[in-house]
Amino acid sequence: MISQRKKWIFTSLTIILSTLLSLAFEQFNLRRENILLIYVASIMMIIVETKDIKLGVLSTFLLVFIFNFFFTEPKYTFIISDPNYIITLIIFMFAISILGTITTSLQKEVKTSRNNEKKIELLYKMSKALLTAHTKHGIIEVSKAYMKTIIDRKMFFYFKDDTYWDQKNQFNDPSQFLKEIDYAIDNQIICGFNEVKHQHLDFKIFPIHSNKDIEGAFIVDCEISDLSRQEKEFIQTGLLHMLTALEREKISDEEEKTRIEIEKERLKSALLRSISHDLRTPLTTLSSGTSFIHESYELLDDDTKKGMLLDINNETTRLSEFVDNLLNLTRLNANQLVLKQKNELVDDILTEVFLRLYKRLGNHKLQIENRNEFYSVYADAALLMQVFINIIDNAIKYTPEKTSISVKYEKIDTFIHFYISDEGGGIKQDHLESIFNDFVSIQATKSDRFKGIGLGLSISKAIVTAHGGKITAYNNPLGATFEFTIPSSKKTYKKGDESLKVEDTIK
Amino acid sequence: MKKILVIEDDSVILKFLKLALETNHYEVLVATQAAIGLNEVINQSPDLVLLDLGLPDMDGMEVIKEIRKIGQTPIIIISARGRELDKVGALDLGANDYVTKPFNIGEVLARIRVSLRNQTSQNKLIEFKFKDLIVDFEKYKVHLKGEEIHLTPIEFKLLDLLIEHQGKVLTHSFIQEKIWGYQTVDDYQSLRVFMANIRKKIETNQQAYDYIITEVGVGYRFKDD
Repeated sequence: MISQRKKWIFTSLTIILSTLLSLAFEQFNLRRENILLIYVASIMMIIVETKDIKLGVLSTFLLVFIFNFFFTEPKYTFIISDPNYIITLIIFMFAISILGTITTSLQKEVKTSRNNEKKIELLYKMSKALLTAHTKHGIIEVSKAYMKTIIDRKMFFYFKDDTYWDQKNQFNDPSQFLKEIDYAIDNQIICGFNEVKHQHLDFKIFPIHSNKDIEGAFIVDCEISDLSRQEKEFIQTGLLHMLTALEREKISDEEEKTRIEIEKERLKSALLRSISHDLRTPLTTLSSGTSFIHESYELLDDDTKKGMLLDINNETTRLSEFVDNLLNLTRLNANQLVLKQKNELVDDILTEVFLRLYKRLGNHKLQIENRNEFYSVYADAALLMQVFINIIDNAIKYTPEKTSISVKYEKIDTFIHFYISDEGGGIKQDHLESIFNDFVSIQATKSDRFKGIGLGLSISKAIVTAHGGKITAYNNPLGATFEFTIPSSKKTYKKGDESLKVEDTIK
Repeated sequence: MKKILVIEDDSVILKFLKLALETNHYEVLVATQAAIGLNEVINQSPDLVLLDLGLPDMDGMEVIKEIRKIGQTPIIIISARGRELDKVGALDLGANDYVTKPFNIGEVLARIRVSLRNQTSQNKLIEFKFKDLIVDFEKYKVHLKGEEIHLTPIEFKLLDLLIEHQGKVLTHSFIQEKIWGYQTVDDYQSLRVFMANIRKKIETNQQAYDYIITEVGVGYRFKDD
């Protein structure tokens, strides 16, 4: 905007210049109409430049007098002798005023449309920014920043669920304030300063409401002046954009929750299926074996019957071990498994494991390499044996007969490293990666077979981790190797940071 | 001697099944993996396949599909998966019967006998006799304990279908398809109503049905003793 002084200077200069030009025309005896046109042009210039209709009217009067003074007979007086000139001057003034009005309204039009354009652009930018904003907080912050660029005054958001309320102590009487906000939300109208309801306030309350349980208000300070119609419209449109973003966020939140719930359910039922499979398989042997011996007792020779009874006996051991695993799993989940750690000789533990497994070995060979009688571990013997049994039992079940399984161990720094290797051709890469942590992802490959592995191995991992050790699986040239570490003495034992948790999902 | 192929990955169960089948004079082929099993189906053309659904290299359902591509060899599923959904799925894919683990050997042997007999008696019966029930397929007449019973045409068709597959579980969708020729979305309500009517007419023993057994959530089976 041009300052007031500049306007006056510009107006005076235009009038002086146009008068000088007219005097020059007069000198050359040019027609009077030309002089009038010069004046019309200069008045237009004044109106366009100063954008001030008052100045335009003023200069029109001034120029009429100047014209009268310099160019009408009798010259250099304000008397008009020719009535023609009076008519000319009246029409002249009339035309000027019409021109002036048109020009100014046109200018106003341009100004408003420019403003609107700017607002639309801002709203567009705002909705674009809202698209990338996540979390309720982020969305509100973005909206507020954009509101601030258009309407620069005090403003804040309030949400009923209290998740976002900046400037809580803005008002002396929050309870009264909340009532007013509730009224605005319930009736979906703008309340406050200069509105139908609650006019006594010096701020306006814009309700924020959607059927997705988003309820709140946007409060704008009106202490100095009221909001213009455009500002109000802008706020309402902006709030609508924000509400859409909030709803979208809410829906995606809910979807995420549902997805997690579904996933949990899926894992739960996968676990149940796995348990039922692991229970039913040995039970099948027991049930079919005993019923067969019973029905065909006379048809079978003694050796066959003896062999079958041994198999049945082995399956009962396997079944009871599975029950142990299940119990440990439950305790692990309830964080109730207490490690009874003592210094144990590795050799003792392996001997015991060997004793418990040998009947089940069948045509597999189990060998313990490079035995060392002096190595010891600081461990819960029963649980550590469970780790060995789980891993070796899997190897027995899932590698071809007549292959060997070997156990090796060595001391590296303060840990004993155990290596259990089989010759079963190895484990698929994608299974290797998830074999301990995410046993359920293996279940996703429909085969029931991996279920047994999963449960035993995730328990093994939990046990090893609880001892402060680590467990991994990888392939060797002939098969798979499971490697895990157990501290060699109490000093090096640090409770594992993952503590005693198998999987949250199992709960 | 009938040839039976057992596809099962648990070595102990496999051993027991083999022993039991051989004791009952069947020739037994074994496979611990689906791929080997399918190979045996092609090369040895067994008379019947006992199939575990939880195999290491392929899902059992896929194995059923593959065997059905090769031919109509009867398949009996032996599986730890006991849900109705699994049973219906396997039966609809073309399995002939379904035994849930843990099972008795006697039960498996009985199912094997039924499946093998159904396989051999392909030609249509003229008259069917079972306990007190006599069905005359030529005259469309049903007699129970010597008295004639009136069945509507659809009821007769249903009974005919069940008798034709005596001893075998027929899933709801299979029966629906065979009798009405199309699938419904009403959870087989009309089928249930027809079955209830047939039972009202032929089952005199209300404690234990003599003829038609309901496999809950799966379908129906005509008794076979």
